[in-house]
Amino acid sequence: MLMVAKGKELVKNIKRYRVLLAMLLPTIVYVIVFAYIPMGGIVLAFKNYNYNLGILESPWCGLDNFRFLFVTNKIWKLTVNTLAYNIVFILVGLVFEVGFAIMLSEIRNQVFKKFSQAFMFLPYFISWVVVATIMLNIFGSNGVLHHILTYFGMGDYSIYRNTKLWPLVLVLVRAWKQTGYGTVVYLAVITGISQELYEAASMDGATVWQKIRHITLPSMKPTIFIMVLLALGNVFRGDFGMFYQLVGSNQLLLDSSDIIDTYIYRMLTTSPNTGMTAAAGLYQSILCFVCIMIANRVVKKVDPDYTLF
Amino acid sequence: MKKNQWKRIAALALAAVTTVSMVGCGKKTQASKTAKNYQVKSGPYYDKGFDLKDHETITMYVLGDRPKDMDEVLKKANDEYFGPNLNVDLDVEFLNWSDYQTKYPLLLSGGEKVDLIYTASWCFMNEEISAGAFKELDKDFLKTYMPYTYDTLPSQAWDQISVGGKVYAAPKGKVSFTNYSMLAAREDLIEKYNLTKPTSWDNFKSYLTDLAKVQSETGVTPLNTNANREQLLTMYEQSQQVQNVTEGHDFIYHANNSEDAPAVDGIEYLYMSDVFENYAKEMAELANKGAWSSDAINDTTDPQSYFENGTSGAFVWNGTIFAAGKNMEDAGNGKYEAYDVTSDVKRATGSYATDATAITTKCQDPERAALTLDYMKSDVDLNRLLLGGIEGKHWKLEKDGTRSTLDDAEKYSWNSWAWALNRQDEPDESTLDPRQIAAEKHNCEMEFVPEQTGFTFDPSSVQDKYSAVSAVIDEYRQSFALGIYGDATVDKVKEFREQLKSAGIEDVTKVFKSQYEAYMSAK
Repeated sequence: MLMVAKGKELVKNIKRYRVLLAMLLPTIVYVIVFAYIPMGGIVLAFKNYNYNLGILESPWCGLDNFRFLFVTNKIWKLTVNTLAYNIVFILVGLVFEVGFAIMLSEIRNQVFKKFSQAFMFLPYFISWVVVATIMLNIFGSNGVLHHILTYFGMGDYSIYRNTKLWPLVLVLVRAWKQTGYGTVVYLAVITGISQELYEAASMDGATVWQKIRHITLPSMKPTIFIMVLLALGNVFRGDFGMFYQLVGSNQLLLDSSDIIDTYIYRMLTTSPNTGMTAAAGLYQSILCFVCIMIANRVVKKVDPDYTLF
Repeated sequence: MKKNQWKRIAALALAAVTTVSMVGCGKKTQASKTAKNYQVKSGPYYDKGFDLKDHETITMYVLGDRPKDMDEVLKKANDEYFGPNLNVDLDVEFLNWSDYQTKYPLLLSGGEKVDLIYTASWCFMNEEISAGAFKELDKDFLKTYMPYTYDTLPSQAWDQISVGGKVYAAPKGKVSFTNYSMLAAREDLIEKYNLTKPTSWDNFKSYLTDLAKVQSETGVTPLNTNANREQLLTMYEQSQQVQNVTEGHDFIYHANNSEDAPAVDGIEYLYMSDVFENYAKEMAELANKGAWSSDAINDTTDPQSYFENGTSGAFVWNGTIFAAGKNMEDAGNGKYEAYDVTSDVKRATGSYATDATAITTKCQDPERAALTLDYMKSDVDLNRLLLGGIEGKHWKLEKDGTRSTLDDAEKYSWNSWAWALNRQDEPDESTLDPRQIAAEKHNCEMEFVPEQTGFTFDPSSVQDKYSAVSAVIDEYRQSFALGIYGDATVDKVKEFREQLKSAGIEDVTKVFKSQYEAYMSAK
């Protein structure tokens, strides 16, 4: 009886919200096709994959595919490197993105505002391959910087020999490239904050700083939490394009800037193996999964309103 | 109202873009559009018991850039050869150099139609065989469906292409000295600054250091090189009279010009040997003396183009150095001379397995694919059409049997993709540089055919360790080759070897040696 009633209610609800559900449909299809169905491919990590036999018929091989990750003890260092870089990227990115969003929102001259926003956005569209070439031509031993320094008699300089600087270089280059894009989200949030709040604050004699501290930042808090949580979901996946292009095969730099993705790339381009690739992907996914679960749990403890799920 | 209209236009545009991008997913090939059924009434495969009733499109994947006139050449090949004689349309697809490494495995594991595919010892052959991507071509199959190829290729070719005693791909018909390094040097600079002529390995080093001293004047880097190509290792090995046990794997022995098979104890893993340590030291010394830019390790510009545009004092590679030298001279950037710094050392030809064509296991009609492949190799006219384009348009056959290029040659340059299809009787270029002819003649005189030719290594039983070892090598190799460690080189070699050991190089070596022993005792 109850079941029938529930079923009727469901049909009624579907009818009532049919337009909204239809709007949701593409997203559901997308997620199922591109996220849930491919998840079945995880079995490949435990199989000795053979094209002839296909995914299901290929023989099981236990954890053999994972062994290649652990034969050298490198994977731990790589995991730590990947995690550390990503956390720094997230924090620095957050400060820059929120900071520049607030600055942009405070600019009153519309022309200057649009102009500076466009310029900040531009690096996002430059591919890492091009960024690497630009860097080499500015900071390399035949680069512009070197020539300027030599002209002023300040000796020769190449960033590629200064290995200790590289973690900083990577963080700064990434901030330069990503800030413009990241700012857009926060700028949208600021635009959405009710002007009445600011007007009221002005009436009470609040300074610009006070308005930012007590109105803008608190209003941005939920978005900041969500963006950080989303970023944490990928914290064990390195930015392959960036590390591969900027560092390349320079072993001196690799010491401090090798990440899981570049290592696996070096390992499997010479001997591609579907099973091992799937195993590496699964290793990263599990770590990311654990990480986001913990982060979400922590956020829930602090303030349940800000969690992802 | 106006706003609404804009919204509608935007929605329509979006829908159009989505539809177009979806359409991009499904692909119609050039050949299938023009497909028609032929009645095969003559030709080399007529009346031999082959079932040629149904029309087929055979799709072949090769590496390289698609020549501008490819469609025209394919149309001629299909209309005059494949259609009437095999009832087949051939479709050739290209995997670009920049991304073939990622696309190649995906192509075979995915649902794409691939009947024939280029493969090589350096292009995933072993990996794809163990993944079951290629059809095994047993003797009966070869004799029946690839009669010409089976008869004309020397037994050495079938030995070299076989893996674990089985054949999975049809090798090319002609080998050359692709693995022997020579160098092109700037003769104009040698004359002007009275530099040491690079006639031996030591003189070559002096040439580089001499050139470094005048770099501020010439603007020419002695060896302008990059992080992608290791230019000097092969040449250094030649100077030490070292040979590889088998192509494609870094196991070496001191051959000293003898063709006898090495004793197992004499086989070393290159990166664990003294040869490598000394090489690393010499490279650090050269780097220190300014033989190349200290940022070469982060540079990805092709070194051949550096030589061609006149900013490099040397270019080290195989016969390609002649083309690079010619391009440099044609551009008016200087004068070149080719040097063979180890002219008294014997050299091996590249293996037949350097270029081959495989039939995929997902091919619907492997018999027809095999016939198509056989036909491409057996018919001289068809073969030359595919290699060099249309005679009279792209190239011309001279009276002496050589070929000369015509105006349209740049739209279909000779042998830019069909390396695995070439024949022994492929005509030479008529305007071949006399320096190149002399060098090739010398190569033939000094040919090295060691006793163990035909031995191939199958690392699949230690695949995890083999992968780990290759990752370690990839990490360090270029850094040693460009001498970036300076005084710390010896310590770094130690560190590198520790890493190799922990990756399992000792086990890999053990397996290599036991496979070698088994092969030699069976022989």
